[in-house]
Amino acid sequence: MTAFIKKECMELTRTGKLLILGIIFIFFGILNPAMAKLTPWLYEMLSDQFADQGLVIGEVTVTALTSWTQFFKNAPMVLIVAILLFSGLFTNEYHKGTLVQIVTKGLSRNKIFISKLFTVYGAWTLLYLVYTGITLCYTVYFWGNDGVTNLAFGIFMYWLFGIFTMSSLVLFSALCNNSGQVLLGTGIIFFAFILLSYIPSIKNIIPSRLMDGLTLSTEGAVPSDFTEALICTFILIAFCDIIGVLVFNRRKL
Amino acid sequence: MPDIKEMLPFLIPLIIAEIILLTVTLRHILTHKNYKHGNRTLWVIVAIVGMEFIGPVIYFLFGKEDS
Amino acid sequence: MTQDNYILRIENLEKSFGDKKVLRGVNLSVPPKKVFGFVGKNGAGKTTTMKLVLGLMTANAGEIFVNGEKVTYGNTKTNRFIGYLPDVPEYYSFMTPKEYLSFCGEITKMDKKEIRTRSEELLKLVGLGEEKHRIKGFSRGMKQRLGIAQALLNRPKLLICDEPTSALDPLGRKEILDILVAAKEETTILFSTHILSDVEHICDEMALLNEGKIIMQGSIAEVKSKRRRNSMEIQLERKEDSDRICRFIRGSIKTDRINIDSFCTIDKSAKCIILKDEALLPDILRYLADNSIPLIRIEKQEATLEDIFLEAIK
Repeated sequence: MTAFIKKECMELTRTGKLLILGIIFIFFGILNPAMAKLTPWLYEMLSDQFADQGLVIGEVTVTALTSWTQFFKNAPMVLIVAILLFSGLFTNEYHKGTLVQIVTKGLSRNKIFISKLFTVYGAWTLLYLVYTGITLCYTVYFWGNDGVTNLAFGIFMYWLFGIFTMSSLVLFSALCNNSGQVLLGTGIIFFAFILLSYIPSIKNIIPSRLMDGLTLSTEGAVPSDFTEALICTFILIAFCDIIGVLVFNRRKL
Repeated sequence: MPDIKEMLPFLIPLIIAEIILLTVTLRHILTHKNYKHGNRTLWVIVAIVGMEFIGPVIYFLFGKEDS
Repeated sequence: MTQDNYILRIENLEKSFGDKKVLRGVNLSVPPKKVFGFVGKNGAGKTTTMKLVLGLMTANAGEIFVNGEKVTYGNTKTNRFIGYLPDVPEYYSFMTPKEYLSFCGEITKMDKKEIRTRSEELLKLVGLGEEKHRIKGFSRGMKQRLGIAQALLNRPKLLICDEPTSALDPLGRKEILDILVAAKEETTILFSTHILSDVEHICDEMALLNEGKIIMQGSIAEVKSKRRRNSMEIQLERKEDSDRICRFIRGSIKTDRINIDSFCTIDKSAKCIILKDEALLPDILRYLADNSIPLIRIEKQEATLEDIFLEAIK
């Protein structure tokens, strides 16, 4: 199994996928505080326009919160980029028939599936850490970190949401034959939950609730408000992984 | 406009990241003859026009051949 | 030979795709240390049979035993005895041949030292010993050769090759056949093909698959002797002499009622007589000499596998 994970890592680095993803995550990591820094200037420009229409916008002060607001606003973006680049994780191998040879060498399908699952989890974790780390460094350097509460918890929840999305990506990879179908499936899940979050009665218990980490600072939410969503997400992750491995064990390679 | 000096700590790494991303993508496009879809001119244009990041992503998804 | 001395045993194997029955009760036994040719036209079910042996598909009926152990679908343990070369092998193109072999070795849990010595030995055998480039730019032939190396890596008891030579040029084909002959020293080889000359060159035994059934099986010599006796071809200078010979044959077998076709036929240009019974030859030679009939050639026609193949699948 370690051999297969090693192969996956080699694939990520040698095909340049990790490099591309790394640069994009770094890029957005820097962009968050940069946008925060530019906010007063943007408001100034806008307020001139609004002033013509008779609206007055008060002075804006940039705080750490401004930067973290950007962080949570851009997080879906980096997640989508990761989904896009991982959509071929299984399907490229189905297409080429490379897994057939691995299976005929006696590596069990469970191990292949779990290796790939760990690889995407690992890659998402690593990239997300880079994204978070860069924003954190800039933010602390420029504005300190006052005014944000339970930030680590908020960041963790978004990470978990990413893990959930990656699990559904892997599930669809076991089900579908090409990366287009995988993208479609994962995309439907992703946007379905975002739409579902407009329904008040379930909005607090579905995984998309985990994207609201910012409310811990802005709306006085407390971590325990997210318990149901966390439990639900864990269950869904387990569901995706278990169904995924069962499907993968039976599918034609 | 905010002081350009204040923006430098952001601008410099952003520009470096940009340049690396664009170089990697262009090098890949120019060193490969075959693409899944489209042709070289198309991909160079896509990579440069969408260069802030979406161009390269699109190329690596839809343009890069498998092996 | 007891049943379990066979390295591969297939019993009453059936497989259909939808309504289409591809295999209708295949029975096959492959003895160890032989090159076994698995012959059939395209679409006869060769690849399907092989995939079933590898546990890559589920059979509708029947059983397969590899080295005495039963094959199951999905995670089959019997694959540890098998090396498999697919018809169009594909690899992780970002690796070099050496890296790919050591990756395969690690998967099959060989120890590090063994992996190193074995992959060097095999890469040399298939002529990729000096290849430092990644698999990315490899030709069909190179991929096929690397395929044999990876299939032989963990010293399998059975090497399954799916049409290893079909897509190659004559030189590439010869290279692969030479490698297979060399590999015969240490393993049993089951290889499918529709190129019969390959079978004649390197196989010890063969089976012929047609319409989902094995219609012939045995050593090459056995298969050849089972069908059609050897015939003689007699070519004469003048057309009318052919008819004279025919009349003579009819006379010498002393009956008109027997269909002359079962003894000899005249081909369309009427210059060639194909004699199906060699016993008549001395008489005919005497007749030719007595009547001074000018002759171009007399040639013994050996039944080729092509003839047998064509006759069998009619």
